[in-house]
Amino acid sequence: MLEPYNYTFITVKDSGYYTFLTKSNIEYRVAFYADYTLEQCVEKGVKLGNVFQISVYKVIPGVAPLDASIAETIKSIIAAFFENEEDALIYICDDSDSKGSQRFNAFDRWYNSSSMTGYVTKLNNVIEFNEDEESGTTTIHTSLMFHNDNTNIDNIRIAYDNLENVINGDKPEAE
Amino acid sequence: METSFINKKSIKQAIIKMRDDKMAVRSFLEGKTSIETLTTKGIKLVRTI
Repeated sequence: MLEPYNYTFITVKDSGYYTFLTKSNIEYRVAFYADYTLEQCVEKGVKLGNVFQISVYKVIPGVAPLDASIAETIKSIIAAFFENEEDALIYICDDSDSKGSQRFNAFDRWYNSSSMTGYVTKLNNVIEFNEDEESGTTTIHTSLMFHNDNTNIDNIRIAYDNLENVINGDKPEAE
Repeated sequence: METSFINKKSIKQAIIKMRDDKMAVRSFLEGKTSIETLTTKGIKLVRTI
């Protein structure tokens, strides 16, 4: 059976990140931080619980050898995150290097091949907008994950739908 | 009761901040940015497990 790598938390002052080393000696770093985007998508006072963003970074640039234990480890870190049922997780893939869609699909594969599909819901939104009048269209692939027992599910779903609806000029849903 | 409204401009700003926060965290994980820089941007990396 495929085993995840051991990971540890590196403390940096009062912050920190998770890290693990692969058999090819490639280090991966995983960080979680509070994200307040969804708060802008609902009326003030609507409860959403804690929403975090996750970043996964491979320390050595370039293509790494295929290693299924990497996905197992990231799945393991995310599964542990959802031990707190009230926390939700947002993942975004910037498309500035035109690889947003590729990362988005990889994240999708990790989720779909995990046991989390039984108790964590994952929603996807691809958001397109113009940052200003001069710039072209910015595309951001986003995924939102929340535990099926999260008590704020309805509000979280509405907020996430509004993220896409309002940017597209549609009327926001009411809570 | 305080009233508020959802508008496209504030959501757009929030999305841009979400994207910029990710880039700042990536820069920190790459070793190019200090933790203090993240702090000034209001980003705190947390232990969740």
